[in-house]
Amino acid sequence: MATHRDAILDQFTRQAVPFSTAPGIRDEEALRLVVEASDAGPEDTVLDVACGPGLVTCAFARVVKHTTGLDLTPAMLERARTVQREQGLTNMTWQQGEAIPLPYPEGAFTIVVSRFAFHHFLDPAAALTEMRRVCAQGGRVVVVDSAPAPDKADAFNAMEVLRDPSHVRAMAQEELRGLFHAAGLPEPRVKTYRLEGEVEGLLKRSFPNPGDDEKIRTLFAASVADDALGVGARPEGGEIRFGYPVAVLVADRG
Amino acid sequence: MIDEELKAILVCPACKGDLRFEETRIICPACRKVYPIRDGIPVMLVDEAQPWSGS
Repeated sequence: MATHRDAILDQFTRQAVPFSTAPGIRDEEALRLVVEASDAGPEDTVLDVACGPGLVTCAFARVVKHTTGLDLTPAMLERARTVQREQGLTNMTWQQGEAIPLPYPEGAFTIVVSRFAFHHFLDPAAALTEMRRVCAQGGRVVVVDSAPAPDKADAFNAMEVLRDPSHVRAMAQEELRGLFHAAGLPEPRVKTYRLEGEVEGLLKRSFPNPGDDEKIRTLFAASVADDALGVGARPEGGEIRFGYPVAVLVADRG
Repeated sequence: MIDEELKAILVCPACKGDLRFEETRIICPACRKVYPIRDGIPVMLVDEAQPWSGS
C-alpha cells in the first residue's frame, strides 16, 4: 500500500537535486529574510525540521553556533551534506527522521524552523506542537510556507497536488496563525514575500503523474486572466511567470 | 562522524530516553531499540529500529 511517507520519499528522492538548484528557492535574499526574522545570533542552536537539501540549515549555520537538519529522505540529506561542503560549514549535523515525534528532548534548541514543509504534513498542528516542545524558553519557533489567499487556497492546492502528489494542503496565513495559538505559542510576527518563478522551470523540478503537466500549464494559462490560483500568473517574454505567496511566521517561545 | 553537539541532544524518538552511541548504531537501552547509522547519518525512525538484545 502506498502511504503518505512513500509519496514523500518518491517525490523528494527525485526532487533532491533540481529543487536545491532552482533559482527561486535558492534565492539568498529569501534565506536572509528567514534568518533575520528569526533574530538569529552567535549563541543560537538551530533545528531545521524537514530540512530538504539544507539550504535554510546552511543559511543559519553561517550566523549561529550550531545547526541540526532533520529530514525523512536520504537523497535530500546527501544533497544537504554536499551543500554544506560547498559552503565550507562545519558547525552542522544531519539526521534522518520524522517531524512527529522529533528525536530531541524538551528545550533542546533556541530556534526551531521549518520551511516549505508544512503543506506536506498530514497533521501540521501536531508538527508545530513538537517544534514548540523542543524549543527552549526564550527561543523562537519559525514556520515558512506557501500561504495562499483564503479565496484562492482551494484552486492553489488542487494545482499543487497535481504538480506534486505528496502535497497535502497549503494553509492561508490566518490558518497558520491559528496553528500557533493551538500549539500554545503567542501571536506570531508575520512577513510575506513572493517566491518568483516561471511555469516550465517549475515543471522541470516537479514530478507530476503522466499527463498532469499539461493540466498544470492549462491552469496557469487560465489564471493569467482571472488569477484563480492567486499566484499573479502573467505572460513575460514567451513564458508564464508567477509569484507564490509565502508567509514567514515567527513566535517567541515564552 | 557523530559530533559531540549531537550526542548531547539526541534522544530516542519513541521514549525520549538517553542513547548509547556506537560506531555504526545508536542504542536506546530504556526501550531496547537499535537505530542504524547510515553513511554517517543517524536514522531515527521508530519503525526502522531493530530490537536490542544486549545489556
